[in-house]
Amino acid sequence: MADVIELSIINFALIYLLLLIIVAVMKRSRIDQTKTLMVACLRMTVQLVLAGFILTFVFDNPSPWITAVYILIMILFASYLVMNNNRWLNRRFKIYVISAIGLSGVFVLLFFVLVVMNTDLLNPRYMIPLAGMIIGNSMTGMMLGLKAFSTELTSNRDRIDALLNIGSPPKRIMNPFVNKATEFAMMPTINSMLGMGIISLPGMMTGQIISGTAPMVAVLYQIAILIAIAVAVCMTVFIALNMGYKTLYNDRDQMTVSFSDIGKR
Amino acid sequence: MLLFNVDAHNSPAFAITGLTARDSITYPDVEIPRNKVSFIVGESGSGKTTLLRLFNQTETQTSGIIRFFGNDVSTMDITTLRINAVLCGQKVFLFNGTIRENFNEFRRYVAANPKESNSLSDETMRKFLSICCAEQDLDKDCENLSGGERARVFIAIHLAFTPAVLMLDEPTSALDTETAMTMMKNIASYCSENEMTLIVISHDRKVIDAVADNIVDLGGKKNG
Repeated sequence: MADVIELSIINFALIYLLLLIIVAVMKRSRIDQTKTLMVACLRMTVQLVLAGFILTFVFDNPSPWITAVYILIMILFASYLVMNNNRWLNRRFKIYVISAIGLSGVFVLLFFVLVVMNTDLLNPRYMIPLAGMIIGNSMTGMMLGLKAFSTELTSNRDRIDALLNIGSPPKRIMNPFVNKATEFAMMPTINSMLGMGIISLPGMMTGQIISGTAPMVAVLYQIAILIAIAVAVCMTVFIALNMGYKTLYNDRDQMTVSFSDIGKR
Repeated sequence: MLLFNVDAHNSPAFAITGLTARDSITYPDVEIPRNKVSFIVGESGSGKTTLLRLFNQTETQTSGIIRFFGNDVSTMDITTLRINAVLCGQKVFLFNGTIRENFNEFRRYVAANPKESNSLSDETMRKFLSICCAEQDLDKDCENLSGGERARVFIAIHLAFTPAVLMLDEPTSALDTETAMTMMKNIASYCSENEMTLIVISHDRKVIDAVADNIVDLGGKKNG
């Protein structure tokens, strides 16, 4: 760990110069997103620096309570971002989404830390970064799943109407859409495993190697986290969609959401 | 095959009293006689399609009572109501696949046990296609059918459920006058031979004059 090259602030700041290339491309291609880029970079910088301070504090004062609160905030913020992107969801559906992200995240995290790493829950140095990766990926998977699900529903409006009109139970009508959306949400995670180690050296492994961990140790961690992420994504999307779709119709087998609202951000 | 309680008083297929919907549509109190062909007419916006949706309860009325063979629909089991009052809507939907696969797929969606075969014989499918003027090869892919052909196959699939009440919303809108007339005559006579009640929304005067036993006029557009 001794030979990590510490970044000097001045030298580090030079990386921002590279952004000018993106600005130039945007100007040239008339992509009107320069402001978004600036805001995104600024937010990223502020959020990460804050996270750095908070993590320093948490690591200096290891307490299971602080760790738990930190993870809870991650879950809530991830849920908030999903909700913000899917304003059409009704209240019950939203509760299922939050529960799904929370339950699957915590389950996979506990299994990882307690069973695989066999360390104690007190150690925020493992708990927090792992929770971040697991919950972050669950969030992305959830967004993909909901996007696919709402697209399936709106593009199959005539099919849903026709089948309701012949007396088919909504559960049977919606199941194919739920399954398709679940598949759609899981595939990027599974596909990324295919190119692992050849096309990409994933972030966590790269980070560990840069900070001096032996490559084989880093590899084992990476394999474990990739499987953990895949399981968390799968569980989150499966639970949220399979519970959530039932909130879209009532006990009179009528749709309770209008098709024109489905998918609205 | 009626899975619900048909009362002994020979009550109409549908009877509505004091029915209002969507806060702006008020329906006259009407009865749809059983085993007859009834047409629902009225200007657009008069609530024709909505009435059929109220009949099968894919939409709930604001107030009023709908009776289906004497049973208040709001207390009926919803699946029982819908498989006995089948609505063939205006928007045609067919699965990707052959005509035979479509008959089977639609039937699987309402089968008590979707894993058990509920399929019709080829002969029966051909019979219903022929009634609907859609004599097509059962192996033909539905994507290769024209708009009018798809509409007729869609109707044939619904007719093949032989429900107590069949409701058709604008069944002839994609068809030429002659085909429309033949198809509606065929369907009407099939329904009367098999003690089925037929309810049709149509603007087609000639068809109405030729096959209607009963006409329900909902009048003009309601409340703007």
